Amino acid sequence: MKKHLMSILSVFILLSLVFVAFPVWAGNGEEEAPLPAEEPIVEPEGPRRGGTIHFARDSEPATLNPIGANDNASIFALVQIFDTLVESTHAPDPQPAIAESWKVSDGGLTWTFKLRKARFSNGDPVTAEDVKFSIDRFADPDVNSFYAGFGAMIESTEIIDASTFRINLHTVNGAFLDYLSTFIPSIIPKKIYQEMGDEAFSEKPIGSGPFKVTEWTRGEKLILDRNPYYWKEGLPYVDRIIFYYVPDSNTRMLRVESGEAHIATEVPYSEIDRLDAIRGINVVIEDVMAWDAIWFNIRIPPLDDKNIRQALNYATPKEAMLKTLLHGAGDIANHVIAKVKYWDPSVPAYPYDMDKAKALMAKSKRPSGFSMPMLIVAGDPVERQQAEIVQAEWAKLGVKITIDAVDVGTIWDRWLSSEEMCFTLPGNALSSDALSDDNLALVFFDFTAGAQSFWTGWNNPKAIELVQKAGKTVDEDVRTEAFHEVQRLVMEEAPAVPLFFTKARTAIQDSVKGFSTLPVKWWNLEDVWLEE
Amino acid sequence: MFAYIGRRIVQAIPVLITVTLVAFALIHLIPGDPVKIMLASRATPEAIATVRHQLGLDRPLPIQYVRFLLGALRMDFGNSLFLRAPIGPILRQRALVSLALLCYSILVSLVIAVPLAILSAIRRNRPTDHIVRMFSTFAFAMPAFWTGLLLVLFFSLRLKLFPTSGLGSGPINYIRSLTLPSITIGFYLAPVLLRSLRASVIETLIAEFVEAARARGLSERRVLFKHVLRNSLIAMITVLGINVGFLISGAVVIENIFALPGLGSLLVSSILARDYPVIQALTLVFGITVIVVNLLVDLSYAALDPRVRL
Repeated sequence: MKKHLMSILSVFILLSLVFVAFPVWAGNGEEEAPLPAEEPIVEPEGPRRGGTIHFARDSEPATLNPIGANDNASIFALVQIFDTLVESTHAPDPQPAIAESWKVSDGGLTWTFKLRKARFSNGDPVTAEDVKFSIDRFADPDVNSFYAGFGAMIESTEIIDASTFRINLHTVNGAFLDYLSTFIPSIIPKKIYQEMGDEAFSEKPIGSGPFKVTEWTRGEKLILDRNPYYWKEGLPYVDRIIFYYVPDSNTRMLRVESGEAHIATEVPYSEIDRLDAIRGINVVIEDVMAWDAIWFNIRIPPLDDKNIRQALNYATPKEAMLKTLLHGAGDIANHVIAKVKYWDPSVPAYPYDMDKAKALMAKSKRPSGFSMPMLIVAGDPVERQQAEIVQAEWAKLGVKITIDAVDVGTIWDRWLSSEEMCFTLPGNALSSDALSDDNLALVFFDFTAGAQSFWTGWNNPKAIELVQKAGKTVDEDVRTEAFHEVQRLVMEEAPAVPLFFTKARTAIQDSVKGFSTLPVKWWNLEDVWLEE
Repeated sequence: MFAYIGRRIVQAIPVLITVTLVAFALIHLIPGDPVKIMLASRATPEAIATVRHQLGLDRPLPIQYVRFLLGALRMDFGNSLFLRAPIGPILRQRALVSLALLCYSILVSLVIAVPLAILSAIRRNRPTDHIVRMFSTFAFAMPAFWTGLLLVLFFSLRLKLFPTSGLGSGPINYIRSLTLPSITIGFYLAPVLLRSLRASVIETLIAEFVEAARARGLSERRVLFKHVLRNSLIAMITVLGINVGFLISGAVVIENIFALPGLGSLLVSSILARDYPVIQALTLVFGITVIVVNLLVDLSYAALDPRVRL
């Protein structure tokens, strides 16, 4: 009997050891956790080559395939691996990348690109054939199902010669080049993609971007190494970037504090000051094309009354919310979408003015107020506090808000049903995918474009006309004027309460140089280097 | 005994089918649609229709369920909607992390619980007992995310003994990286085991056969370990079995705090994304785990208690 007991015990211990140790044998023990970097005092002369950047992110990529990706976690990794014809930088317009230069003819219908001599990370040259293959996939709504609208204007593509490629459009589109600078038309090697198949390519793709995929362990980390064939001379500076997936924000910040990571994204608002005060750590706060707003369904009474919508705008204390909730990391929004290319800074935001709000309420259909539920995302403390402040302030107008906190999936389901009156998303949920306003304008202002003005039901013929007019021309003046007018119109009509233009908040070690967040929210990590 | 195991496996089949069916029905009954989540602000009716068709979500639900069951029989769970990759390898990789964490945590809890329980029981109502009981109440009352953060602040930031989070590579670093999470779970699990073991040791200490063993002149040590402990283990193993079933899916908080890619965090993220195939596959895996653990617990009764015949 004793033997039995002993054997059970030993089997258990053996099993424990096997399970604890097995993954170790299975995994390949490549890189070590980084040593905490002590900050050097002397500034070296210029960028230093070499080193590994440990980068802690809040979310993990779902796929590494440019077609099929639709989440920021995937997108921000993809842009490190792939090149596009033109690329998104800090400039207001896309810059040359695989396309050295381009010519527009036929009043904007024909785009002829001169291709650069570049190589994929396996050494193969980037050919016109690869470019055509990639752009054709981008233009096919059945392949590019997530962003079909971005490539919908393409009629055909043709290879003129080995270094000349042409795209013919069936309709002029003012944002065409901006759409080409997104991650979706990334140039992929046709032959390799076809040999590997879509599934395998999505796991370990080959691109011509600054970095190449070395190892990807889902849920844990993505290791990217320098692409030795990258066309930008001398770049990237670092040998390796390791992205870690650290969902808990406290833990993510601890990674930087302990020196285990050089960079950690999405610093919680309440942690900005504390982290910034730590020696050797810097919190950088940068403008990106993201924003936060409370959305109304203006088809449901009494929200169909403009007086009420404006009153609620005046009754929202944005200044105070910005200071207490966002710790200053944002700007008060004077537009219901992000600050994109054609943003007009001169349009006034709604100030906090209870008297005006009460006067507007008195003029409205429901002078004594009404009740409505507000959908928010559960589990986000900032969202909750924001909703509670709004609830308290709007109550002064007799508008009783019941906060309905649900998960994101439920929010989309209920908001898209058009039966809800009011909802808001966390400040990092909405952002622009392209450098110009068109992609957002079609969703938020053009009721006929499919999303019913973001399901607010704002069906304004003038706004629709302006968005379409701006979209169908490459004339910058016409586009600027049209989008400025839409901005004034939508602020006046107020299908939403715009709150803030939110910002990127990143904690970085002092040893990291050249880091910046682009307006499109990702980073050109090829420019980053590490001090000794 | 083999006949018994065979019978239990046959009994498990309807249980598993019911579990997957209930999970399938529930996940489709709650609001939320994976396609709308993926498309978000771009969810125009045409886009929804195209993506739904591409993902096979436009097929009737009973057909989707039957396809899942047929696939599961061949251990093929299909592709994740959101991760756009086969589910099998993802599950395998994460199950290893979960199992490693589980075994390490059980080891930690047993190391804490068994000696303290015995000590506490033989020194019943004396200061030692009170201290142990205070410790166990305190440890049990600490929320896991709090314990975890405190451990990290002290052992990782201050002493730099362990990494703050993540999985280390290489045998030593792997075990090091699992140490703080295992202690965190151990802090929750040990008091549960400790209390049940202490109670049954106390009960056994006054049993007649213990009296008889002492009368036969056996040493106190021999009485304690050979007769008392062995007869007291059954209750603790039962409690452990229940908790193992819970921990394999419920270590979400720990996995998130320590950025460990286990099954629990996958379950939460796939529920949030309404990733139906992953949820179904996980339900099946958890169902099988609970059944297997229960079977093992029952088998251990037979090994520990000669009166139990299978």
